Amino acid sequence: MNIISLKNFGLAFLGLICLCVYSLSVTAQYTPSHSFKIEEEHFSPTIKVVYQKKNGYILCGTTHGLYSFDGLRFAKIPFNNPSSSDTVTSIFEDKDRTVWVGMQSGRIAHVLGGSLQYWQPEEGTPAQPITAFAQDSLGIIWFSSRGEGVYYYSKNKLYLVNEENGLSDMQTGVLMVTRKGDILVATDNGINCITLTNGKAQVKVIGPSEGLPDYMVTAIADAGNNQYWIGLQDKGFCKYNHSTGNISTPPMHWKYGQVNQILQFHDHVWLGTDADGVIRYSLKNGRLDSLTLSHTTSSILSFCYDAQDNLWIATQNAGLVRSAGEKVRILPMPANTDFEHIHALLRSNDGALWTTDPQNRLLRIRFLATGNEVEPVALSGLTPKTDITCLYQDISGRIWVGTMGRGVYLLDPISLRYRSVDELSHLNDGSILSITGRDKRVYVSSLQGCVSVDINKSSSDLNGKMIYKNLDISKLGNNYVYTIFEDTKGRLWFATDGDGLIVYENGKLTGFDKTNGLIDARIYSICEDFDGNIWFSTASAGIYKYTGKSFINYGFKNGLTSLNISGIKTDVLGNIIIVHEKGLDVLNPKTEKLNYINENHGVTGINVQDLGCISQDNNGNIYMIGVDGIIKYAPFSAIALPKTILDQVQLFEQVLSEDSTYTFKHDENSFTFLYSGLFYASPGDIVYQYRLEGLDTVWTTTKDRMKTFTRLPPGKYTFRVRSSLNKNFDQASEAAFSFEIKQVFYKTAWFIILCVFALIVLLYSYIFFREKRIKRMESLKQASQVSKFELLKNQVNPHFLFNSFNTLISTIEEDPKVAVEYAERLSDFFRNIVAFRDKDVTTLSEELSMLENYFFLQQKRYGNNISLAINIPKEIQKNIYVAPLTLQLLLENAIKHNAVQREKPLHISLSVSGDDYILIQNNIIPRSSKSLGAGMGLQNIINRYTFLSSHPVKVFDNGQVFIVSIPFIKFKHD
Amino acid sequence: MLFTKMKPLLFTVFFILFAFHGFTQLYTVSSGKVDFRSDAPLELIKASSIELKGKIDVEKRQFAFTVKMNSFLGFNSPLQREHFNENYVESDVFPDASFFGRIIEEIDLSKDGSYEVRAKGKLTVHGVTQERIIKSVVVVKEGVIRLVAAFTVLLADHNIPVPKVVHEKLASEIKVEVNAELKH
Repeated sequence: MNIISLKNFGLAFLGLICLCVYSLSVTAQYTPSHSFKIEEEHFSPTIKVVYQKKNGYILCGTTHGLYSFDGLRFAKIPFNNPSSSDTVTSIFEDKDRTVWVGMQSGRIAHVLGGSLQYWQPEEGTPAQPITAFAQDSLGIIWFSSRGEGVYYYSKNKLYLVNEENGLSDMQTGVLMVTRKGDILVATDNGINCITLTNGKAQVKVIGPSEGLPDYMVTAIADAGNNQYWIGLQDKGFCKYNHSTGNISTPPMHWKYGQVNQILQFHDHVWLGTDADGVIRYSLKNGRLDSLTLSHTTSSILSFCYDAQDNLWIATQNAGLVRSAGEKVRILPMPANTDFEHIHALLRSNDGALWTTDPQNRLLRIRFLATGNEVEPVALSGLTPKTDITCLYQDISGRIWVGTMGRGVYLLDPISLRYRSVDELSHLNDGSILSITGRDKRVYVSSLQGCVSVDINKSSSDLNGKMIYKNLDISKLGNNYVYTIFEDTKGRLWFATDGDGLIVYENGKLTGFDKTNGLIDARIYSICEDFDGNIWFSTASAGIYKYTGKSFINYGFKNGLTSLNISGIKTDVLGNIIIVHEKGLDVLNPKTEKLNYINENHGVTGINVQDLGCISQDNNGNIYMIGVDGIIKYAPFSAIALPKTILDQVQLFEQVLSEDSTYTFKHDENSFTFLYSGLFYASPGDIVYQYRLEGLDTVWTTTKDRMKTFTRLPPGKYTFRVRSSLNKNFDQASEAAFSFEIKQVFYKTAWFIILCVFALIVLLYSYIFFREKRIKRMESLKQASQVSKFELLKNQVNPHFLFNSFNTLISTIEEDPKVAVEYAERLSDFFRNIVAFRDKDVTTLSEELSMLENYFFLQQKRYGNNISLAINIPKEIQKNIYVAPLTLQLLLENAIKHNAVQREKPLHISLSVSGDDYILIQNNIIPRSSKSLGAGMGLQNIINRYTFLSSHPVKVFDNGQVFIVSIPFIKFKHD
Repeated sequence: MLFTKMKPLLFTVFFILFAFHGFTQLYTVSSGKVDFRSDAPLELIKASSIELKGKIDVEKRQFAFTVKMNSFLGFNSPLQREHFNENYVESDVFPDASFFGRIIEEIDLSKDGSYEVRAKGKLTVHGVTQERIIKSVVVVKEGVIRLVAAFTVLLADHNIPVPKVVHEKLASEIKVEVNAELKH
């Protein structure tokens, strides 16, 4: 019956009073499970071992190698040598996260770089199957073999413990490192305890003579306090106290065959058996029961727990089976039960479940040792049209039954006697919406109004005294109240149909509706968290938290699965359980983390039409109606979130090894990231967000598990990825990978600085040298111009001409022939001057021929008072260059600056020195007056030579001789 | 002190060597060779001895082998051999190296065939006994057992000190190879 149609409910008629009790059987409760099988092209490997790694990944050892499993898919971990094939018999991850894989062949492989690689110790590996691994506190790896005893690997050496060391049997199995550091070994002949002292293995045998119920030990598990659960081949299991050596066996009738694995988890010891599936032993009440799953699992090979409390079972016939473990149990109803007709559910404190059938009879389901028993209770006056809408058990144990049109019945759950509560006139034939209560007070809300009932706490007498009181909230809203909730502070909260939430506190009614920000004012359910906040669910707007000051809404944005919510409850752990059409959302009110119980746990098709279909027992377990039957949800410890793992980083599709450096060259710029959000409870729901810091500023949401970045520009990057079950990533776990792509060298700062610097230097030196050259050229030009001017000035010196002409005239008279020669020489001399003056250099021979002309002219004037000696070999004269007219100027200087006298003749000599100098030497004959411009000519020569030669012009004057040394110019300058 | 320690060990070796006389399943080394090799960065030292003695009881899968340390020849120089005997293995104090124990694999060595076996036993070198597993290939043909085994000996495991001076010339790990032929 739909809640919304309640108002249109018609009158029902009184039926016959009859009480009819009969029994029918119900199939056993079961835990929903999922089966996963590895499908290869031509075969389906059998999973022999399941093992959960520390990072959360489940590894499956199969008849055809190793697989990793992410909750959805199996990924083969291949052998690095493709031709290898082996059956995995054991898996172990050591403290360094090295994975050891034991094989049927006796060989051992490691997972290295995504593939299996056989381990090759010098000593060789066993020839018998490897059954188990362990690592002791010193880091020594132990492994056992089926036939050769126990090996240990210490300091790169392999050692064997066998019968010579006192091992009672070579068929060895599970290994367990004790607190003390010794090793317990399961053998076919008792438990063997190996102690390693100074490299010597000593074995102590704990067998039947020590009280062990069976010879063959098949499993060992930690039981805390240096005690161990021992699984046996035939006799079930026992507990061994390693401190005292005491062995205790719980009283039991074991009929389930060999124990293959044993595990203590929460309040149970879980036993994987060879013949009868998973058996649980309750540590609380010592009861043994078998875990019935949706899949028939007879032979259990191995099992493990994941972070979300799911049990993963490797079975012989059904593949890898995931079960929700303790969290979810389903009690199937008889096949003919129509779930549309179940309108109410109650779990009474004696453990029975109460519900309704299509005839609107009350059904009591009891779980007896002999099987489940269902008893229908027909309440007189109820017909198929008068629904039972709600059930409530008060503190004294009586069950209150609310009906549509027949008011309230009170029932004794043991005798099944009942009466109609007709004391309060308007509840008589009333339509009851809910019955709730706290302590000795019961609240009844009906279409006819709300009533509080004070009962006698200690008496369960159906006719016991009760005090009724009307609760009138009509001032603030209509009287359609879905439920009444009394909180821990004694306040009364009314969930109304359209008028919001109303609170009755200190005699005052206060209403909260749309004016207070509520989006939907139809309130269905109310509860209180451990901090005193009031939570309530609405018909369509999700749930609200009322802190006392403000209302906080939770909806899809916070990760809720559905807004079609029938009720909310606070569980024993303080979490808010939200019951909706698709299952349960479990909200931690403090962290706001959410967990989901949904079809992945076998929970589907929840009845949310009838608000009375949720019940909670004293242990906090929650019961609901689903299409498969009555669902029991047991709150489990921590709310786990998906764990994000970066599985692989690829550079140009090549896997980066874990020990490589994360700095890359400029052209190593194409990266692929493979990641997983591990959440084995519902792996298909995972949503990812990734962001490449250094490139992206926002997170990208995706369902893909791979992201490739190509042609990344140089820079520093961090790839971050996180996973969540919903759109809320606030608390999501994150995985990151930081790396750097180096700039290409010609773009690096230092290179650019260097280039700029080099350019500046080049430019500067060019300018510098150019300027220097120009300066030099100018100086040279200037100097040669000065010299030319000097020369012309000298040569056209009127005295020189006078003297020359006078000489010529006198010579004409004395000797006309000589006069002709004189005139010729004079003219030659002047021609030479004109010819030479524009040249920078001239050969020494040319210079000397001109010098001889000049000397001839001078000699005619001075006669034998001057003499010139040229002591320069001819070959040198041709190869050596001089500045033009240099020697002539020096000769002229010598004549000009000395008093030429008959008594003291002037001797001028030219010679070559060994260090490539031409020496012009003359004796000094001091004259009384200095001629004008003394030193000008010599200075001019010195200046000119600074540009023409790297060697300087040297002047030597000691008062006796005057020597000017002119450096050779060896190569002709153009 | 060391002598007294040695005595029970030697006794055991000899016991195993000779106590089996009279059993039909006993095979004795007719020819055997032990090579060792020290492959150090600066020097490769090799030496071998042909004086390997030993027995295998194929029924019990037990064995004992021994070799005289001063029987090793083929060093790079006579001085090196002198050093080997005097400074390192101290042949006058510890004249023998031995290995005795049991074959792990349950195989029948009286039948022809080629077997890869592992032997678990006590290896004594320089008076220090180490429990070792040594892998070996055994070929049985017409009543003759031929075995080849290669293993390493860590000098530190056997208290053989390596002076710092020769650190670069002597490997800390000595490779040993044993070749033997045993006859019934």
